[in-house]
Amino acid sequence: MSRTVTVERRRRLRLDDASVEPGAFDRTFIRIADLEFRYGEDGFRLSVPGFTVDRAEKVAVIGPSGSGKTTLLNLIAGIVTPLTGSVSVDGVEISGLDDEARRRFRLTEVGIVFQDLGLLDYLNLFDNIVHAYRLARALKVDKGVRARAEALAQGMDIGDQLERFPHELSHGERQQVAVCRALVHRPRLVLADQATGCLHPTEKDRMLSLLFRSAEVYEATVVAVIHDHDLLSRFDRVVEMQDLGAWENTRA
Amino acid sequence: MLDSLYIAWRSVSFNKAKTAPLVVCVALILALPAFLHLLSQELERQALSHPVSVPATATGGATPVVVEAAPSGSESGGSTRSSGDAGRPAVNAGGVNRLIGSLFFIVVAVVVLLLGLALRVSLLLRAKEMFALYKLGCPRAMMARQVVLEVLMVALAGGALCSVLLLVAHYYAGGLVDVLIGL
Repeated sequence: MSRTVTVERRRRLRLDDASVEPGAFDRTFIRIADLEFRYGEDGFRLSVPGFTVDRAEKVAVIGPSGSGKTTLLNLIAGIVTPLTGSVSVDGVEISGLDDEARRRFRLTEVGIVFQDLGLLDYLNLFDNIVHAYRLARALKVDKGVRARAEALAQGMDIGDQLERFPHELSHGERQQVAVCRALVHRPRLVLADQATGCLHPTEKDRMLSLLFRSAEVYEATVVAVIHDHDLLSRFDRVVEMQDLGAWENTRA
Repeated sequence: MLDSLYIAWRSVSFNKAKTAPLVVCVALILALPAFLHLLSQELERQALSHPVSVPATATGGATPVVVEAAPSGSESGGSTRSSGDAGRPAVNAGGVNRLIGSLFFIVVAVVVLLLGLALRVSLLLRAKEMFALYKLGCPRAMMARQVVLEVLMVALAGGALCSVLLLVAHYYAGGLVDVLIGL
């Protein structure tokens, strides 16, 4: 099953055989090894000697501000690439792919909830949920996708607001839209950067429930940066940045 | 393509405050040469429809002024001189046309620069949106196509506005020339 999925995914990513690491079909889904990253010449530095996440595991990442939590997610998503070392997802070395392949990987395999949400003001909520995937033809917006988007929105209790625009909503509601967008294309990896930051405790619970329920249905792996320590018990594992590696903020 | 057109339309129609000045700039750029040409033709038509020499009395003086009408642009014709100004160079219509032409090019250059500036500012304002799309994984070509479609929509709207302006100008050209000469 795992091998079939990986081969299918490699076909979608248009990768050659050389990009698959030995032992790619084990249960490890994310593998970071000997990673060194730096923003610019004298910017923030992050070192991660080793970090693995199992398939379908739900991992919370915690740590102080400026410790590189968002950078870690960006590295896993292939938004930025390390100076040295490697980042592999499901046996494919993401850090070794070119820009187009990394974009394709994000579009087809990853659902991301950004800290700044990244919603577009000029699109209503439904269009925001399907926008990127429709634009890149990764998702044909048919009845099935429409129903899925609506079901996700219903799950977040914003199902009756799909025709409204982001500026008409509270920040918490916009966060919920961002989570719907991250799940609508049934990703196999969900990266959430403080997705519950501005929500009421009951809404936080509901959002995590929806996130985990969707993840379980599609056997997706979840890595979430989180500051709400009362939610940590719902994750399979909690990783502290201090234990993960070292960082240095030279401009601080 | 339909999806891209739909998204472009949503962007253009939502950002009315940014789109409207761009449409007006494009309409002005397109309309200005045609408008000047229209005025020039109307001026020429009115001049040719009058007798060759029209004696008139200049305001504030008893010296008669003679206007010689000839097709504009000709080197010899279209000059205006006072009958008492013998020996002084006459105001040449060709020179006036060249002056208008120079002013026209300056205006067009300024409008084009402003249009470029508006486009640049618009792209800068949308940098955050573009970065969000990049992070989600949208291919560069799709993002470029989106911007191109929006620019095309603005250009089309500008063209439509330009057509309306020219129709109005064509209808009122005679009256406009009378007003301008009166000034």
